[in-house]
Amino acid sequence: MLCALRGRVGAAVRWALAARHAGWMWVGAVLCGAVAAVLSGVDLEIPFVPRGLRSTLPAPVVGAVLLAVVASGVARAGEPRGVRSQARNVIAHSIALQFAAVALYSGAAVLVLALGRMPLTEMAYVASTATAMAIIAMAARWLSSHPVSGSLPVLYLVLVTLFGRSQETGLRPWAWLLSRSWWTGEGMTGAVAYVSLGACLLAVAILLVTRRPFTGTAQDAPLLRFASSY
Amino acid sequence: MLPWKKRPAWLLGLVGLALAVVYIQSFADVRQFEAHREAAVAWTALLLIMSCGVASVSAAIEGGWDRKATGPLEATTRPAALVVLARIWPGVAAGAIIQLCGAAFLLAKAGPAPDTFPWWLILALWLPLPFHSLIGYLLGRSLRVFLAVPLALLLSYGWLGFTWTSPFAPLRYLSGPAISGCCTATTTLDPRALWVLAIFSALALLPLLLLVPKGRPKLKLTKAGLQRSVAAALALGMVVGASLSLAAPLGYSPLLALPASDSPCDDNNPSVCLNDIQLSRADHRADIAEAFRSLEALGLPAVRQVRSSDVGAMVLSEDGVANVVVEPWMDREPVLHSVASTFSVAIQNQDCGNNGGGDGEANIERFDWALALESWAESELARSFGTQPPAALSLEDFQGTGAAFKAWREVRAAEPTAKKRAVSATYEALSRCSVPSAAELGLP
Repeated sequence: MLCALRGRVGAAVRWALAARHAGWMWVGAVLCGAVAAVLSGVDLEIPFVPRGLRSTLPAPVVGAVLLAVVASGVARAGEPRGVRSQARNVIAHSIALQFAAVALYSGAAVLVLALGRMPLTEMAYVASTATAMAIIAMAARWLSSHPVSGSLPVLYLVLVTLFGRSQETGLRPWAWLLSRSWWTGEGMTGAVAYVSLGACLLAVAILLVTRRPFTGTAQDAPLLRFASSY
Repeated sequence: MLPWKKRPAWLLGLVGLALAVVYIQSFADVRQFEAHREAAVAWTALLLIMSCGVASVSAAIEGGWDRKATGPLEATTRPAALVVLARIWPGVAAGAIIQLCGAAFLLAKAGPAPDTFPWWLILALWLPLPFHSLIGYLLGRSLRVFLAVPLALLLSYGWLGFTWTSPFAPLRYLSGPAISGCCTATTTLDPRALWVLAIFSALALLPLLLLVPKGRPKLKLTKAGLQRSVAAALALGMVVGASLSLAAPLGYSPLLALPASDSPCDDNNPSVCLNDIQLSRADHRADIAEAFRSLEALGLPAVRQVRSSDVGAMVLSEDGVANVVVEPWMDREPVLHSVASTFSVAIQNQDCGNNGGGDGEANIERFDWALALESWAESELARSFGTQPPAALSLEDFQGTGAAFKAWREVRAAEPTAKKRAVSATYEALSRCSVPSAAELGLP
């Protein structure tokens, strides 16, 4: 029975990887992870803030967003049409593939940081940011199957850099991506981060079970049909 | 001819426009461009992130449609430029509408202004749109749409944002948002900044057009494809190099001082020279002249002429020309503050050749005295004009902050003649890079 199970799982994994040209993603994940680790201490100056209001974006965020976009894109591009009617749970394969990419990214980052004798907190930060971005990308898949929905992590990055700071209150809690300590869960920023990621995980779980985006598919959802026509 | 109605650019354009309006409402400080059309339109350079994002994503989606529709054996008969143009124009149009609406909104906030309408600036800020669109289209043609769309947005945002904050100044002028650094009431945009943007945005399209695939893109790189890629990379490198060398003399700020002939001087004593933009909301020339006369009567040096310039002008020259900040939004209080701070800022800007090292303490003491002088001048002007001095600068708020403020509180209580002597002695001592002694001040 164990052999049969191993055979079934092995076949599914082989199929999932072959259908998605995942080789590019593995190489990309390792490279992104290594670069994010090397630049983990760097803060990029955020553009588009008004005069007199300076802010920074931790460099690993860019690597995490890039990984989320590439992993989600590669996974979705390999999905056959009509995922609901497939015998295999293709959505589950896609999600597993994205988590595998995050694991590879985090592994590469942790290795580089360990070689550089960097503190454990840096490693936790790089890995948790990549995981968070990947979860947001997966939740976007639940929101809609339209190609534009894959842009959600990038859109979130753009929005936090544009509107995430205020002159009066500093960092706005919803812009937790700009904080280096959100993963500790401390303060309002950490709480908002964990609540929003929890909601995203719930969306991913629903997607995993129903295999159907919230806005439906182009066949049965008027809203998506309208958006797809544009 | 592709139908113009069913294009993603229109829906994306609405989203981009909504973001642009929210951004303007959140961050556009009207003081930066009040009564100044050029500054208002230059501010819209920041909206390029929305307009270029819309153009790029729209082109990526349409590029994806082209990719899907192209058969492996399909032969292209139309020139690549025409094929691309049919796909990217809605995105470019949507981006241009966002820029135009942003400019109209900001011009309405700026109110009536005496300067000419900067059409050339509006047109120049449209030029990056085809460049971003073409990159989006190339991504859409080359990659699966799930990858191409987010990457198009990320690339567009990354190029605009991180070139603008790059420490290598010439790179900033290639993308456009650096133009938002223009302008104050006494400066205008250096036209070279626009030329660099225009030349780069136009010429960079040509090598990118070389990369447009004919037919369905192949996973394996062919010899012709490799040749085209190398030629495009070389051409793009040349365009970037030429643009950077053009931008090299610009420095970090793309500003030029307005000619002195734009600021005619009046007949006051001292004569005050302001331009039409500075005078568009209120005429403070009489107040400025009276304030300088008051300060002269209190013991500070006489000023012959008052000018206002942001670029390369001394705050107070030896021949008695003072440089004050006057912006259209200023009412009497900030103008008086600008006058009152003239002498102390001149002292602080003085090169005493002893920055840092063991002489740092001396500089701090001098700055303390200069600040006390400014606070006193501010209080005196507020008293004679019946206005309120800024709380942070009043002498009372500096209780116990050092010898300078302690001495000044005593000077203020002295007889008018003794006070005038003390003020003159203080300014002279500070101008010699020293601080006044108690004997010079006439204090016990």
